[in-house]
Amino acid sequence: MPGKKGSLAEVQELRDDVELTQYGEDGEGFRNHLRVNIGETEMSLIIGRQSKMAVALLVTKAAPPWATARYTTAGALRQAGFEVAHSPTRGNPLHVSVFPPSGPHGPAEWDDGMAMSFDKCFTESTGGDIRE
Amino acid sequence: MSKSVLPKLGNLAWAPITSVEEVEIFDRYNGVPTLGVFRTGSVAHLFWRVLGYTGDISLWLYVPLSDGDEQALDDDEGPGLLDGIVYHSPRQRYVTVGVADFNRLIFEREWSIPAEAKRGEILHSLVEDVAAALQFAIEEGFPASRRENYRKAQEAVRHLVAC
Repeated sequence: MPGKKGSLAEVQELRDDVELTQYGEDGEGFRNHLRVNIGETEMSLIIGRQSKMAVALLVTKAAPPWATARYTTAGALRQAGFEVAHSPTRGNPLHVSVFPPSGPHGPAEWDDGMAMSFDKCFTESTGGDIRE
Repeated sequence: MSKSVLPKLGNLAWAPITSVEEVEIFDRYNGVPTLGVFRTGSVAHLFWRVLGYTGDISLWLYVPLSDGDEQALDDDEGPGLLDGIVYHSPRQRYVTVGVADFNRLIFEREWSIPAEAKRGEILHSLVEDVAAALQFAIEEGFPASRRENYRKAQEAVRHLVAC
C-alpha cells in the first residue's frame, strides 16, 4: 500500500463488497450527518472491518478507551445513493470519503432523512449509542 | 528550539494564530484537518486534534518543531507520524493545548509532554490537566458567556475521564 516514505498510499477502487468501519465515541455515538457550517465536507470511514482500537488509532492517532466502531459496506452506501471513494491521507492510508448523492444542482443537502438513510447502512456497533 | 505558540481564541483550531502563512495537512476527519503542520515565518508547529471527534468539543495540541522534527515527519506516515515528537519524545517538550467548540478555540493553556511518554500516559494526563485548568477558569471572574463555554468543555472532558 504505502509507497516511498512520506507519500500517499495508492488509491484503490472500492468494490461493493468492501467492508467499511466508522469511528465513534462512547456517549457521543456516531456522526450521521455533515455539519457544513463548521467546515465538514464528507463523512470519513476506514477500509476494512477494524476493531474499535484499530479504527481509533487510524483516525485519532491515539487509543482512547471511549472508542467505538460500526460497520457497513461500500455497496450498501451506494445502494442508498451515497458516493464512496478511497481517499488516503498521509496520516491514514485507509481513509474513505462518503459524499451525499448528487442532484441536478450539485450535492443534495444532508438533512434528517439522509442521516436516517446513512444510519440504516450500518449493521452493528461495538458499543456507543447512535447520535441523532 | 522554538517557543510554544499562543493561540488566538476564536480562531479555527488548525490555524490558531492569525499570522499562519502555510498549513500542510497530513490527515482529516469529515473533511476537517486533524493533523498537520502550520508555519509562520521560519517557525513550524505540529497541530493535532487529540480527542473529541464526534461531539462539539475537541482538544488540540500545538508542538513547536525543530528542523530534525520536520525531517522525521517527512520520513514517516500513518499513526507513526507522532512518534518521537508526541509519543516517546527523547526530551520534555513545552507545548500548548487548545480547547475548541465547533472547531473554534475557546480556551488555551501551556502544557508539557514528558520525555518518553507512552500513548495512554499522554492522553490520561492531558485530559486530567485540562479538566483542572477549566475548573480553575470557571472559578475566575470571566464574563458569564465565557464561563458557560468552559463549563460545556469541562463537561465533555469529564465525560471522557469517566470512560
